[in-house]
Amino acid sequence: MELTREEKEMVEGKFGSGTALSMNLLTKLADVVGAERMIRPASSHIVSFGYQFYGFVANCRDLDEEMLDGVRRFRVLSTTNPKFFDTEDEKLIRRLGIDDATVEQIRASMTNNRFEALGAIPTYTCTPFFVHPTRKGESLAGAESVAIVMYNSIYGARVNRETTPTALAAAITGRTPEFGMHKAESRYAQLQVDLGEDLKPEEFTSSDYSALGYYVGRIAGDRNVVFSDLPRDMSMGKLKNLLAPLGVSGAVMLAHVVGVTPEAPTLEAALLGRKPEERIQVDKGNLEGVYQMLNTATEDKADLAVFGCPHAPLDEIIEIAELLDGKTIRDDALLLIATAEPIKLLADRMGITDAVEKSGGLIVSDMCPHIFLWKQRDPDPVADIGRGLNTVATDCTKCAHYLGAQGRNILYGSASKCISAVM
Amino acid sequence: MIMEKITLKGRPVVEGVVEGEALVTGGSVTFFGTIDFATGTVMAPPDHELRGKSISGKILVFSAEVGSTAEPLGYYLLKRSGTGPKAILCNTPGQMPVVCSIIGNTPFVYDLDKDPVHHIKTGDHVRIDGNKGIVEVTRA
Repeated sequence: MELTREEKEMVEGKFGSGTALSMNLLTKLADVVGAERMIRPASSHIVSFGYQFYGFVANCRDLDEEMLDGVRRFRVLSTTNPKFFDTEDEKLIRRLGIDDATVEQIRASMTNNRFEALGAIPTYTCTPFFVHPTRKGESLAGAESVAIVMYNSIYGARVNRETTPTALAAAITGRTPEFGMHKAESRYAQLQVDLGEDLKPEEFTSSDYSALGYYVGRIAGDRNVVFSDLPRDMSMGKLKNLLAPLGVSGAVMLAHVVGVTPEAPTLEAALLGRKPEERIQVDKGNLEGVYQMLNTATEDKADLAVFGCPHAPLDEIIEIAELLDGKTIRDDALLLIATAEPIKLLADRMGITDAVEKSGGLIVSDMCPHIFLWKQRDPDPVADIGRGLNTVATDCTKCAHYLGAQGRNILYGSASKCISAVM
Repeated sequence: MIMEKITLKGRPVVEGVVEGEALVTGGSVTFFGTIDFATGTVMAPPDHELRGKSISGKILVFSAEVGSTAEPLGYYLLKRSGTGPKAILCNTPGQMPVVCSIIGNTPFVYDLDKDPVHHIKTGDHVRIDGNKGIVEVTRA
């Protein structure tokens, strides 16, 4: 593969050992996947290895440190994935009853400041596309399965299903190997998804959309998808809930929605004139199967309701706030709507945050709900944060999937059902 | 007892030689979020054929990866915790198994001439030669 002079100098160590390690990782990968050159992505979405796993920080920090050794500035604009939670959020800390010493300990363990010092944008969201826009045809780098499928599908930008180390390597070197999604000819749909007559998508709740994405992801694997017959007026929140699970139960990078997404004005355009490799019809029974599989709770009462996994855009927050209007959350229960900080700011200004709090809920920024509630087996203070939160109600399959894996009881259902579970 | 021996050839990616007992799944694997770091036990999804089983110390052979892009982090953590597999084999194009093996520094051979999921069975003895790009499978 062809490397420019500067790229060769990175490999040789002119810019320090971290840059050399990063460039070596990228060139090795480029060699395996058959990329012929490196390109300069417009941005990289990076994930800190350290802050989230308190008990494992000592272990994973080493890798971060090695890659960042000698790095003074990221070479591309980099957005950041959520933190453990916002340690400045006094309301949340009070509601969870975390003592000052523990908060201090968590603060000290976070490695995100390191990224900010190198020029990263402190977005702390899994939905960077809502706060740091892109355009059709723009090549990006980055990790986070939700960001990848949304950037490719909704915006027509080009990004591969990268990993946390290659995303950081891209931020450090300003390069990413050119292959896969970066090439127009790789972006046709392979799996066509039609809806059965017993499904009425215009009546779908967010949890129905999320179940549809989860079901299709299992069949799609790493293939590109096209949804042939979904409503053309789908809100951004519903699109996010449909597409995000494709990177949870599957490894999908790109899903066209005919008449909605930029590379799919027609079915033929999404297929680039080819025949689909496979065509499936999804019926009501398939979605019911997802509900059955993810629902592990034995009662309709939950300790916590989680919305915004992935982070909610404003339209989704408004919908949930409307459902909450006039209702009161039980004193022994919690309701969280996770979002990106700029969106929370707008919700603050619109009085939505106050309204949600009046019902007993909280809008939280910077937090990854399912990582926040990760059941640690280490004897450390963070393990206790989620104590008592045994049953979690959510309308997001991503949250249900990962929290279920960690042994929490899951009540998977529509937003109204989740709200009822904590009243 | 007749020993059956199969050889798979591919491209060497991560150097080194490792051998051990195979654990094979036609299903997909996620190294982050669905495997318990403390024990190496597969916890999800509920209908996964390896659910409740440990991947620790095995040569893990799988058909595809899905889920979190933090998988190399998960693989690295499993290795550092001493609960990860000895090495992995996965022939599906995509960068996850490649980057996992580089970051975890476990021998890796890619682009194998035979699909490992179909030619290796759980319990087989597998020897991965990451220097030569060869995988030797011995079945009792």
